[in-house]
Order: sequence, then C-alpha cells, then structure tokens
Amino acid sequence: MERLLHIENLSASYSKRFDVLSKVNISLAKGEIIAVIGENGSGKSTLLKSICGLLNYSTGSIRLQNKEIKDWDKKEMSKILSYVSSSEKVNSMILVDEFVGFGRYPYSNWLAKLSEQDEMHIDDALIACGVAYLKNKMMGQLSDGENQKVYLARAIAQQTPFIILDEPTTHLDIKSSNAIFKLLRNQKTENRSILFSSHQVEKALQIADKVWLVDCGRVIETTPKEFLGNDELKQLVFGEE
Amino acid sequence: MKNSIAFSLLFVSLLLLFVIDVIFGSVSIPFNDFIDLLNGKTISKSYELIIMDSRIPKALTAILCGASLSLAGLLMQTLFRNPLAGPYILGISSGAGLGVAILVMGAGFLGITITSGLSTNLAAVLGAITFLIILFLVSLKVKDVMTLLIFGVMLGSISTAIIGLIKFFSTDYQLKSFVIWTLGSLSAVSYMELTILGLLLFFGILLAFQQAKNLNAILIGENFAKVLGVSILNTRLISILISGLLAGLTTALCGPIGFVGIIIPHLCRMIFRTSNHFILIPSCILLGANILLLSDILAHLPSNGLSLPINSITSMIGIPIILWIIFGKKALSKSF
Repeated sequence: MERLLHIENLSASYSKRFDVLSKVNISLAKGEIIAVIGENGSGKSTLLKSICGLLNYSTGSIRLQNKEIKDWDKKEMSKILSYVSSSEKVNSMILVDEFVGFGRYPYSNWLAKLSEQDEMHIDDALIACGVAYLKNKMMGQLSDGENQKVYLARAIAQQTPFIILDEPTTHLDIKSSNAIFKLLRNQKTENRSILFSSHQVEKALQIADKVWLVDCGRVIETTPKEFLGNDELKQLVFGEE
Repeated sequence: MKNSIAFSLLFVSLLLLFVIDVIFGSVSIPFNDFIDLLNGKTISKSYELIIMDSRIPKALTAILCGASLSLAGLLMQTLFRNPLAGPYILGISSGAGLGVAILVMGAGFLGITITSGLSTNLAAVLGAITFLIILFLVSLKVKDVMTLLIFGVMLGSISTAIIGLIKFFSTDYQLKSFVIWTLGSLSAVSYMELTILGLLLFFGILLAFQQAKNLNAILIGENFAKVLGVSILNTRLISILISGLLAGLTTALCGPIGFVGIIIPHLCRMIFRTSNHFILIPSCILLGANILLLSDILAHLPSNGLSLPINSITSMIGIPIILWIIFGKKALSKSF
C-alpha cells in the first residue's frame, strides 16, 4: 500500500527538560485505520499534535506524502489532513451548518464565499454523519454525542484523504460511541486514512487495521490480533489483572 | 433579509442622530437653517459658525470614535475569546493616559505649564504607540494569548501606579487638568485630526475585513484554525495593530471613553444573532457610531450651556446594558 505518513526517529516535547515522545518510528498507509492507545499522559495527544504541525518537534522527521510537515504550506496541508479534537472550545453561537462549512475554508476565497460544490460537500458530510437534522441548531445547543458527530462532519466536509481524531469518544455514552466508531469505519470505503486515539480499547481494536501503543514516550506499532495475543502489551494498557 | 433591514435601520438612525446632534445644544439651530446651509444658501453667520466649527466636527468625532472603539472592542473580544475584553484591555489607553500625565503634571517639575490641546494629543499618541510597540514585541514572543492578555493588564497597572506617583507630586491645577482629560470630550477635535482618525479607521476596517475569515476560524478553536491553514500569529498581530492604533488615537483625541467598545459587539451579536465577522464588523461600526452620537445628545440634555462628561454618559448607558446582558441572557462566556 502507498505510504501517506512516515515518522522517523521523532522526539517531541513541550519544554526543553524532557521529551514526551522519544525516538518514534512508525508509518501509515493510504486507506489505513490506526488506533492510538495508551494511558493518560503517555503522549498520545502529543503524537497527534506533532503530526498535525501543532507542536514543533525537537528532532527526527514527520513526512506527509513524502514532504516534511514543517515544509508544508499550512493551507495546502489542510487539503490533505483534517483534525478533530474534543478539547477545542467552539463558540456556542455558531450554527451547525456554519461550523461544518469551516471544513471548506481551505478551498474558499478571502470572503469565505462558498460555492455550490462546497454546499454539496457540507450537505453530504452532514448526511454521512447523520446530523443533517441539526443543521440550523447552534453549537451550544448540542449534546456531547451530537457534538462529536458534527466535529467529524466538519472533517469529512474538508475532503481530506487523512483525518486525525484526538479521543473522539470522550464523555460519550455507549450508543453514541458505537455510532462514532461506525462512522470512522465507514470512512474506509472512501479510502480515507484515519488515525484516532481512544481509551475504549476493545471497540477501537474492532475497527483498526493497526495499533500504535504509546507508553512512556515510546510508540509500539502492532496489529489488533498481535496486541490481543500479547500479555505484555495488554498489561501496558490494562494494567495487572 | 432580516440583516439588511437591521443594517438599513442602523443607517437611517445614524443620519437622524447626526442631524439631531448638530441642531440640538445650548443654542438650538432651526432645522430649516441647517437644511439651507447644506443646500449652500446663506444663513445667520453665528449659526453657520456653530454648525461648521463646533457641531459638525463634534458629531463626526462621535461617529468616528464610536465606530473605532467598537471595532477595536470586537477584535479584542474575538482574539482573547473573552466577553469582557475591550479596546482598552491591552493597556494601550493607559499608555495614552501616562503620556498625558507625564506632559500635564510631569512638566510642572520643570516649571512649565502645558495648556495646548495639540501637545496633550501628541503626548497621548506617543504614550499609546510606546505601549503598542511593547505589546507588539511581546506578542511575537508569547505563544499563549492569555499570557498576552495578562501582560496587557499588567502594563495598565504599571502605568496607573506611575500616574499615581506623578499625581502625588502635582499641584491642584495640574491635577484638575488631568482629571478633565480623563472625563473625555468630543468637542476639541479639529478637522485635521478627524481626517487622520477617519483615514486610520478606513484602513482599520479594510484590514479587519481582510482578517474576517481568520477571525471566524479562531471562534472554532485555535488548533482547528491552525490546521485549517490560518496563521494565528498574523491575525493576532494585525488585530492588535488595528485595535491599538484606533483605541490609542481615540483616547488621545477624546480621552478614555468607557463601555462603548465592550457593549457594542455584544449588542450586535444579540441583534444579528451571529458570530460571523463579515456581519459583526459593519454592524459594530454602525451601532458604535449610533450609540456615541446618542451619548453626545444626552450629554447636552441639561441645556443652559452645560455639557456633561461624555465618559459618564457612556458609562450610564453601558452599565445597565451589561447588567441586562449578564442577567437577562445565558452565561456570557458561552458565546465565546
């Protein structure tokens, strides 16, 4: 499979004192779904933020479509990669329709005028995520589950081949979590690469092709099958039984 | 459709308030005389002098200052995503105040008495620009916008402390001159100064529109905006530059005018029910101009030649509106 992302010898940190991630070597192919798992504070979000270009890494290399992340023009990169995080604080007065429309920002002019094609992508994304009925609601009126679906709709409207999601099922009930995992799995039919972090390990493993296990700054690349058959790896995530 | 009706109403009320502000005052000008003057007909010399040299510059000052402060307030509220942010939040007006304090009261140490309005304005502009440059340099280094906000508040506190020291060693006359400046006035601005403020506002509006798309993106979160290709640093620097220059020059010309810059963006969000800057920028400009014109009319209500301090009027209008927004609406912070 064609390689979309390649990370080599990556070390990333928030301060000069110590590295949150150390000597990471991993890669992601087109159309692959990868689950990032690990305990709180292990460096999952740091890894995802580094890939998105939100964090300046100290050493190593992150190459997206064979081009270093640091060298990408951010506007051009936003046509390749979209990012979803539940920790972002969104203005409550924005309409759902407008919010999903932000996914078309990389393609619109300085007046943010949306074309018919843009409108079509927005409607398609809302329908794909099952939130078309929320179109005229304000973001502040949504439940946590609806919020996550709308966030994903924005990323889908962005029409990128690669979507990164930082804990898309946080604070969600079982039904809403299942709906999100189903939506992520559906992206495979669009040949999109999905990289997501989650604490719901069992469900994440059901839809993932590969697993990146983050532990104390190192990242272990494995498959769901290998992970489930390896007690040592399971212990790193679930602790001692 | 609703938006175009609201914009039309704001525009019509602006014209009406402008006319009322010009003909109403300690000397009332007959409406017909005002229309005759506009048509180039000859009217009483004293009326012509009052209209051309006093009332029109004052009304234009109200329009330009109201628009400037509202635009600056909107940009600061979006940049800091804080409902209580306003044009003075970064301490730039304190810089203007410090400049005036050093000139008016500090000059006393050298045995000089300053009476010229031009020198006061220059001192205020110099003070505001000095603070703006400091903030600009700091904002290049500081990544977190809240750190910048706290730095701005600290700058304001430092200047208040220095002003306090200068006041302590000043004479009664110098103190009175400074206090009068802090009360604010729209009536001492020349056509030349109005032209400069008008040009600055014009370029400020152009730059604000050019940044409107990025400002909208900031409302969905800085990280989302960055991944959408928005340069947060550029937007931050341009917003600080526009707000700083507009708030600084407005303070220099009219003294600090409170509440306008904070309440207008909130009122516009409520009237137009949107956070879209392509709508908020023009609506804030129009509503800000309306409110300051209205404040100026109210300042002249006591008649018998007395004009109340404009800062007191804007505060009296602003405080009930803020309380109404806080208690009558959902939590303010939710809008951000």
